[in-house]
Amino acid sequence: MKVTHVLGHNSNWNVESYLQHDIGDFFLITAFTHGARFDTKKGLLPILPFSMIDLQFYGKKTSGDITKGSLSEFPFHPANCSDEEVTSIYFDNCLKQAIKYQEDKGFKNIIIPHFYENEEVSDIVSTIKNINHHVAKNKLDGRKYFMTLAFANHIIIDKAKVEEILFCCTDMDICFDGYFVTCENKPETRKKLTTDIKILRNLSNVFKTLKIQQFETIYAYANWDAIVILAQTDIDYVTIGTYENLRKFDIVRFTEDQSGGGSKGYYFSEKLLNMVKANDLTSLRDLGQLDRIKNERNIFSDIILRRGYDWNIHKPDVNKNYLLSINRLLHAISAKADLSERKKYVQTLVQSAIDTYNELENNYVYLDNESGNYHLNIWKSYLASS
Amino acid sequence: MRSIALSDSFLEYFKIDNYLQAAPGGQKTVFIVDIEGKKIALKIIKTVDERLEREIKISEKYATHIGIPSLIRKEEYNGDTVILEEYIEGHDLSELIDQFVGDEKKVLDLMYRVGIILQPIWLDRYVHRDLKPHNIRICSSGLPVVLDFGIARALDDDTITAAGTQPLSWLYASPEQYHGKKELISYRTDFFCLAIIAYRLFVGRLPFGESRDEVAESFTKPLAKVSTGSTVVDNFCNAMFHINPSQRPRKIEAYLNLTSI
Repeated sequence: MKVTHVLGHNSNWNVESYLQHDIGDFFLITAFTHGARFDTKKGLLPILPFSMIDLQFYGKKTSGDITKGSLSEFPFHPANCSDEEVTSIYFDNCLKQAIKYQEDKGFKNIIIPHFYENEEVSDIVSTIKNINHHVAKNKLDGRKYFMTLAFANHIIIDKAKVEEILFCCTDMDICFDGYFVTCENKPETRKKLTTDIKILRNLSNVFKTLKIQQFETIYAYANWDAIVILAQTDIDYVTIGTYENLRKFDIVRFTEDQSGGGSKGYYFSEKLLNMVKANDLTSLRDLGQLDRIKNERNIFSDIILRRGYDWNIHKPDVNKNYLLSINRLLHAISAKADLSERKKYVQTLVQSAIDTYNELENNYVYLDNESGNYHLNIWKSYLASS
Repeated sequence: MRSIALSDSFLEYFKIDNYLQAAPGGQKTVFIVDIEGKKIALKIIKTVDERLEREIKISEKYATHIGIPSLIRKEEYNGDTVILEEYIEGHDLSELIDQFVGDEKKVLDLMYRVGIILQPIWLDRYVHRDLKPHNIRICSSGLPVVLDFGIARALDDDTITAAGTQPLSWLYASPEQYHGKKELISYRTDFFCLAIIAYRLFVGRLPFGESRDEVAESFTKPLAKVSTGSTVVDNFCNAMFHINPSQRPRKIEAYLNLTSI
């Protein structure tokens, strides 16, 4: 498994963490942030040989209103299309040009874009078949072709729809080397992770099935709930990201301006398997419980947990704490080659986090909303039953 | 079985010396006839609907393929379609089940040979959809022949029969056939049916129940791994026995590899 940095806003933090602290193994450049001149950016040059690009075709039907970022810098991008051009032939041509573009740029892993807003499974299947046919005839040696599967929420919660897509993706005629999977989790308000067991079950099934069928898999825009998915199957690339919009696939990002406001940020704790709001650290410290959640052997954690640290979500150390912690967790999990041992290991991590939450409560620290334990019991139940 | 006599003019036209009715009348009546000292299967088809047209098309397409009865001649006679096809001497697999029970090598060898017969058909995007012991004939040489492509489906064509009403044999049907999910029918449907046959041959009984209701009930939940006492038979069956076709082997080579001992 390669831990893969999603390069969006402030991507220099990711690159620094890789070059200076050996965090991560690979990179995913986002077209929205970096545009067509990504390969001239000085900060990205050192990592280009270890990178791939997501051209992010997700917002096609609302392209007229799309928050384009730098997407329209790519001449073939649907962000440039006007309403009268919207035909499936037009979009298939966009996809083919997107493949050619990545080949010409020298990428070894070609991410074939797909549209989030293909409402009907039949449309998704039709696009996969058309592009597979194209790739079968035009595949270049030495390149790997990954088809994007962008699971909208209404699809990922429906196992019959998921199976229809997997049925197509695993047909004998498929010539893709793998799949670039992203999923709209839609967590509840004031939560960062989904607690919908249908999503966990169906998304895990996607990765397990693709792996059984010997495809390479990329879990893109993954949040730390990738831990649960990785507990049950090998995944070849799992992305990690600094800001929330790089750890969560959400179509709204491509249709509305989501410029973030001020926030103190969050502390990711390996011991809680959760992000704790910076404001909650005060009560943890005051009640002498900070060590219970503190990440060990993590210089960024050491810095940001110092008394008087001026918390801000736009500070590198706040984000690098997460990168280092999640990188360690994911590598520790994937290092267990035996999948039953791996699952047991993750179950131990989850139980330990639940116990830590209980200990905090025993010591009068009651964390709520996204800081609280709203997810671990679901993970525990799911892992026990799967 | 309703007995049908062939007219003298028919016998004369096709140079038939003797005949025996082999399958019931109706849309298609099958006779075993002697023509110039050779046994031949003769089918008289009253109305060629899409199903029968497809069966004829497959017979024509694979006329020289080993393991599928050869099409000798097809012509119209008094408004009926008459097909003369190679007659396979031997027995239905359904009559020989006792000879396979407990013999893993014999069972998997048969699965391999049937897989080899069907390989070009699967590659051409056809699915048999009705594989069962009755549709596999074992020749006097011991080699299998696959019969009755009556409900075979070309995956790239529009389907002709709604999956729920197709005249398949329920005890050997796959979950997607039970659930009426025609969009999930593929070569992996045949994989599943062949694994049911393999289990039946090796164990001597069916894996998911002896009635349509029992099997339907089995297919409402994930399938438990089977344990037959033979690792190779278990590996073969368990690779195929998944409710979701996407989890069955993807490549025909993988199917064939699972038949090796």
